[in-house]
Formats: sequence, C-alpha cells, structure tokens
Amino acid sequence: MIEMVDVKKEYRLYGQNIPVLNDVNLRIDDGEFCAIIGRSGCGKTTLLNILGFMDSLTSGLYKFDGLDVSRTTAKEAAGFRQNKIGYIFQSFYLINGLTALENVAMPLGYAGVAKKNRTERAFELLTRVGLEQKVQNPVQKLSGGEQQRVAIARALVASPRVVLADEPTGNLDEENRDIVMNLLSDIHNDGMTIIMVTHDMELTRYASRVLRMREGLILE
Amino acid sequence: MRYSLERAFFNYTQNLKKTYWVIVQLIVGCAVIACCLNYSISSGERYLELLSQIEPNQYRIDAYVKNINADNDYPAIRYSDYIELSALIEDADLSYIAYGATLTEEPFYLVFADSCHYTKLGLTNTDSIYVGKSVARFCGDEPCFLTTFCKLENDSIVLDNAAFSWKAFPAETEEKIVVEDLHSGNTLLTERSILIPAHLINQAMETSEEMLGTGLAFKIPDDTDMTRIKEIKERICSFLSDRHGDFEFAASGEQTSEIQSRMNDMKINYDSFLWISVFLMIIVALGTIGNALIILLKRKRSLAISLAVGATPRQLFLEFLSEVFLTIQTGVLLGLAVSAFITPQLSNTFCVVKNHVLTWLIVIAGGTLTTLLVSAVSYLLFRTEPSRTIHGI
Repeated sequence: MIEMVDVKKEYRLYGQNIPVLNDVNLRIDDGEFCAIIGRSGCGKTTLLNILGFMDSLTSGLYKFDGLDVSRTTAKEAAGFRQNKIGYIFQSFYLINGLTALENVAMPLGYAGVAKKNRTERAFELLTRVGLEQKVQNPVQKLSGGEQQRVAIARALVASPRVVLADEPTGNLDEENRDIVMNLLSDIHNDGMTIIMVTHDMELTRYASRVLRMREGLILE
Repeated sequence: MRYSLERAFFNYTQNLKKTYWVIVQLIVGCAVIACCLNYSISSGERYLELLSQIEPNQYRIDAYVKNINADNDYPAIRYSDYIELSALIEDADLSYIAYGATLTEEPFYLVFADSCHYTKLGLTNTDSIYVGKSVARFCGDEPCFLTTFCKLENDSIVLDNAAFSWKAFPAETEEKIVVEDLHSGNTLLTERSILIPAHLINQAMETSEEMLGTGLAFKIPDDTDMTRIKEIKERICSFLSDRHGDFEFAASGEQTSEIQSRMNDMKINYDSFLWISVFLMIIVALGTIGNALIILLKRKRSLAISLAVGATPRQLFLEFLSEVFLTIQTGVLLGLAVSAFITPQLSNTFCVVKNHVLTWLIVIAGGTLTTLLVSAVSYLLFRTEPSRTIHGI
C-alpha cells in the first residue's frame, strides 16, 4: 500500500542543507498498525508529514497504492489529504468556534459533500467515538480527551485508506490515553491501516509492527 | 466552492467582533473619500455649467423685484414693459426674461427664463411640469423664481440662482412635487402644485401680453463702460418702479471675467478635492491591506488546519477572498451611506454639492481593488506547505 525507496528530506537553514531523513526505505501493507518510535528530532514527524502529503520529499520514491506520488502538485496533495489520509495531531488542531459536529464535517465540506450527507456522516462518527451527546458543543468547551476523540472522528469521516497519528496521546492523561488508544485499536480491527508516531514505548503494544527511527534512518 | 463561501460567511459573522475596528476605519475613510469626490465632481459640473453661460463679450444685468414676500401680490411686469425698456436702452439686448404667467386662477411662477431655456430642457409639447406657488413663498427675501439658468439632470431641473431642484413629469401625472432646497437642505412639498402642459406654456409665450414678469435680464457688450452699466441699471430700476410703484427693484450684473473667476475657483475645487480623494484612497487601501493581513496571520491556525484536512490552497484563497470582500464592502457601503447624508451639507453659494453615482462606483471599485490586493498577498501565504504552516503555529 505504502512504499518508500531511498527517500531523503533536507531542510535549508541559514544557507545550509540540514538532512532530516536519510535514505528511508519503508513498506507498509494494508491493515497494518504500524508504530514508529524514536527520540525527539530523529525525523518521525517529518516522515509522517511526507506520508500524509503535508510535506514534499527531497529525493527518492514514494508510492501510494502503487502510484508514484513522489512529486505531487498542491492540488493533488490536497486531494490525497482529502480522500486517502486521516490525520490525528498531538494538539488536536480543532477549529475553535465550531461545534464538534462542524469540525468533523469540515473535510467533507471541502470535498464537496452536500450538507445533509456530511452532517449525517459526522454524527455517525461522533457516535462511534462516544460523543453523540456533545455534537453541538463548541470544541473549546470539551475536555482534552473529548477533543482528541473529535479529532479521531474527523480523521475518519472521509473514509480514508490510512490514518496517520502524530503522538495522539501526548497531551492526554492516562485514562484518556487508554480511551484514545482503544479507539485506534478498534479502528485497526475494522481493517484500517494506522501509522502512529510516538515516543511512548508502552503504546507499541497496540501496534502490529514497530519501526524504530534514529537520525533519519529506519531500523526495523 | 460552495463550502468555501459558506465558511467565508460564517467566518465573517463570527469575526465581526474582531474586525469591527477595520470596518469603522473603512466607514470613516470611505465617507470622507466619497464626500471629497462628490465635492470634486459637483465643482466640475458647476465649472461646465458656468462655461455654458459665458457668451463672449456679453455683460448680463438682472433686474428683479426686491421686496417680494408671501404677503405681496405678485408684480405684473408685462411684455409691453420689456418692449419699451428694450427701446429705451438701445445698446442692451433684452433677450432673457423671467416670467410669471397667469394661466390659471392661481398665479404661479414659471421657472424658465425664456423659451430658449425652455427648449434646453428638452421637453416636448406632450410633456408637463409642476410648478408650485409655495415655492416662491418659501424663498424669503430673495426672489428665487428669478432663475435665468436651469438645466435638466436626471429628471430634475436644477435651478442655478435659487438652487432648487424641480422635477419634470410626464404629461397628466398628478403627483405632487417635492421641492428640495439644496442650499438649506430642507425638503418642501408644494401643496398646491399645478400641472402645466407644455403646449400651454408655448401658447403663453406667443401671447405675451398675458405674461406677467417678475424680473428681466439684459445683455450688453462686455466692454461697456462701468458708468454706462450703472446708468442702465438705474434706468431699468426707475422705469420698473414708475410702472409698478408697490415694488422695489434691484439690478445686478456679472462680467465674463467674473464668471471666469468663479470658474477658476471651481477648477481649483475640482482638482484639489480629486487629489485629496486619490491620496485618501491610497492611505485607506494600504491600511485595509495591513489590517486584513493581520487578521489573516491571526487566523493562520484555522487555515493550516483546513489545509491539513484536505482544503486546497484555491479553496482557502476563495474563502479568504470572500471573507475580506464581505468585510471591506460592509465598510465601503456604510461609508457611502454616511457620505450620502453629509454631502448635501457641503453645498455653498458657489456650488451645489450632490451625491453622484460615479462616486459610489469609484469607492466600491476601490474597495474591490483593495480586496484583490489583499488576496494577492494572501495567496502567497497559502502557497506554503501545510506541514510548515501547522507546525509553525
């Protein structure tokens, strides 16, 4: 499903090229729950951003569903983010002022789904994450755990092929961490491919496969 | 696209509390700009009007009744008076006359100086005008019906001397006329307005013995000696006083050079207010662009999130463009509304300042141009990769 061959990523800083990913080779199959662990600054998030079409790679090959997506235009990348990828952030990144329902329905809005359909789908997802009673609450009034569940619902709303989670429990207490991880586990059991970045070793027990990263390299 | 517009409207209403000061600045800015433009355009119009009045080497003398008021009877300067006066003052051309005619039971004032001006209005025999008696009564000491220059503009007859705006109606219309005193800003409704079919006016002109005049206008060569001009004025006044002892008459005149001097004033007004408007437009536009970009940067978080969940840069661009357009046009339209109230107050004795559609178009177009500039700059911001945007917040 996902294949990376000799992927490099460099950032230019003060006139110098700073390598972040060095010849990353990676293959993730359908239905895997893959945890990527490593110390801060080892390139986990950069890798996730490239996988999620949020960033471009400097060189190498990136194939998604057998399609070479190494060089995509902004519009094509947005299309992938819209239809193929669900993203869960450590800091939730919900839009304050909007209700939980509106936040979850937002990706469908940009995809051109009719209001009635996107509202129904968003409600369905919020019910799945146990927030059916709080669909009309503004997200800023929800607890951290609830906000992350809204974010998970948003990531799933467009029925993506893969969910990318960047430290999804980083800002949560133990109780909410378990709730969120159980949710991800349930989603995985339904057949969804999940790629999760974390530095919490304990979370790797939920994963079917663990990848370790060090200085821009993947060590299986 | 539809969702982008939906979001833009949502953001617009949600952020009104944050953007109200931008709107207030725009209201003030656009109101001032619109007033300046109105003043400039009105001065330009007045300039052209004065230009049309200039007849080379002609000096005009207006003779009129000084002490007319609501309680007086109306003076009855007859056509024969003006024939005699013409003969008396050989070097003057009695070509303008302000008529008051008795075509009905009630006396009323015909605002046109003569058939020449009547023709200028472009009325045909099937047209009619309403002329109200009470208009003359509201004029105070000045005999406002002594109007020697008038023109048709947007269906309104703008009377130069009296600065009244009268409306031309199609024949058989029975609406009452609303007379606007452009100097004082008062709006007067004539209660006993009379419908005068144009063919009756023409008929009255031909059977001039029936016409009652309230004033006369002479034209004499511009280079006539001032002593002679003074003599003519005195002669006219004494002649009319002899004939109509109940009234006092006065005469005033204006040389071409004097009209040209007024034209220069108008030109200066036109130029200076136009440049002030342009300068203010640039300042307001720059201020608005700055403010809009501040708003954009403050909202970078939500924009980055939208990008991350699949919005295309084009969708976000459209969203922001629509939001900025709504915000700017709110300020622009409210500013124009404010200027519509202020503009009439700017009228003075030299120039009647009116609201102009051209002003509205210029200010609205300026607002639209500003929106496009804001959007052009913001478009560059949206070109960044979402990861950098989202991790930069």
